[in-house]
Amino acid sequence: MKLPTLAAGGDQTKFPPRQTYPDFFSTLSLNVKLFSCQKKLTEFRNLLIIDDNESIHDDFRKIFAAPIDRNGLDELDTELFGMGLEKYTPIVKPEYGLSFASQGKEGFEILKKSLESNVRFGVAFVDMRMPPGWDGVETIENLWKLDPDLQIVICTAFSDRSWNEIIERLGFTDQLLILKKPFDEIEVVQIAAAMTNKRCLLAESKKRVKQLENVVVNRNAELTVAHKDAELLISSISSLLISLDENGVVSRWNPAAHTLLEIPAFQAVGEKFISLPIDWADPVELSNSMDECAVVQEIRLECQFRDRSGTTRTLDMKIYPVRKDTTNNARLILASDITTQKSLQAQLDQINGVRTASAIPAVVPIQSTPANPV
Amino acid sequence: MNTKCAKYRNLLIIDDNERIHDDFKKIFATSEGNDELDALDSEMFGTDSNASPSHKKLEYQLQFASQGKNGFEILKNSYESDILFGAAFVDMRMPPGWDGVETIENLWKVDPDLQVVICTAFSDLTWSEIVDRLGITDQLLILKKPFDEIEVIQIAASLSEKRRLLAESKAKIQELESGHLSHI
Repeated sequence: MKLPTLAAGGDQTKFPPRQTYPDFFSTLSLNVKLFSCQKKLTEFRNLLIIDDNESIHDDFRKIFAAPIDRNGLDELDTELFGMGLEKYTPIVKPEYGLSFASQGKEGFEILKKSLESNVRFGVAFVDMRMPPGWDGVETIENLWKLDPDLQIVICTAFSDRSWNEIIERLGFTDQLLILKKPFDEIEVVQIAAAMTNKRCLLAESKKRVKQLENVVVNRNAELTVAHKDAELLISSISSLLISLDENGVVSRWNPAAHTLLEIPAFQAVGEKFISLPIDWADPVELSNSMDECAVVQEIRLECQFRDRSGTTRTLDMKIYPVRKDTTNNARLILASDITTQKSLQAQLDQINGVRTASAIPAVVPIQSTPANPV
Repeated sequence: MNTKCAKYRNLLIIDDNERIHDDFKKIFATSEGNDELDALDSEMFGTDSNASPSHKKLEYQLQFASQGKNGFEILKNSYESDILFGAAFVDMRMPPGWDGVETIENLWKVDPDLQVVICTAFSDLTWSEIVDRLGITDQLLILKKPFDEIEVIQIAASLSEKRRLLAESKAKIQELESGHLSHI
């Protein structure tokens, strides 16, 4: 069976002519659906054969020559040529695009062009010795420079002896298989299937990693924005906001805290909150509340301190444990200055008190007068 | 490189020829951490430590069976205890028990994603014969006896990594199917 001679190098033979049929047959549009394979997988069903021996090219052409669905074709065969169905085994071989090169450099150029044109090779079969040009190892090194995920099969008649050198030069890799010449059809077919699929899985995996990276980058950007918003909010609120780490040391001290407690953030941060120079009216109660809140989740208290001018100020303070864990002293303190409110309330109470006081005596004396006869 | 595929660095060797077991033991005997042993070897036996590129080798756990059924049991037990094999090397002819193809059919019943290597000294095995019995599969390679160390090492590395990628891919699909993508 003589195969049509194809120009060696770079010829993409998706549908190699089937030698058993007249030429017009190959021109029929045979868009046959292959066994259920993902679109992705077909994307990598291209093989690059780099060998200076033309008869190896022919071997590959022969091996992958019948890539089409025999079932459909056989019916057509019977119709057209009256051949019996039983003459053929109904086998569907996966379809591959084949590209050939006789020299390493030539193969390199084919791969380079393919990357520009979006044709992806799953596997390259590379001969070990191809004088006068690059040898197999040099070819492979160059192919991997272009396409680091390319699966490679070294085709060789070599014996074990020279392998050390080859592995030394290529380094450890899981993308390399050995195919010893002479090889059988089944070896090549199975290598092609296994490695194309692996290449596809690898591409999927890398794509997922990329997607994850994008997700992380986006999330980080979102977080940064959210963080900035939160910072802005924290610095602009009129309430005091203080965070303490697990040792009770101040880690956050907002501008309101500075204004109220008259200690700037740079002095407060890094210090134990409880030992800051603040003239608390009842430091013991405050300290106890700090401990207690880990158990009850939230403590609300009014606590008083004397500011630098000697004025007693009152804070409406809420203490939250960051974690419900008595050994962990991380806290969040929110407080607002209610001194003015307090004094207004006190004044109001006083007024009310005076009223009540004046009302009661107004009654009492009247009632009591008779009880106290002079 | 590829430390993640360590989980699949288990190989199952099913061959009725004990010498093949020994070959595998020898091939995967040295590993990165065994430099001292290598040195000791050379000292004691005068072996040339440059004879094999031992520092390039990965560590694999090996399991051996002399009969298909035996190997099947090993795979089943491992599978149940969540130990997965990167690849199984199966001899073609193992009288009196199951032959290679029957063994593989049974292995795939337990672990459909198992990567299999048929080891054979016979080149009469045709693609259509295999396909007739096993169907078209990308999970099968052929290793002709006698084989070189490098062939086995590269097959083991390549298939273990493929198995890892396959598991990753399936896990992802499962995740997508169960709609848990939101918390990646």
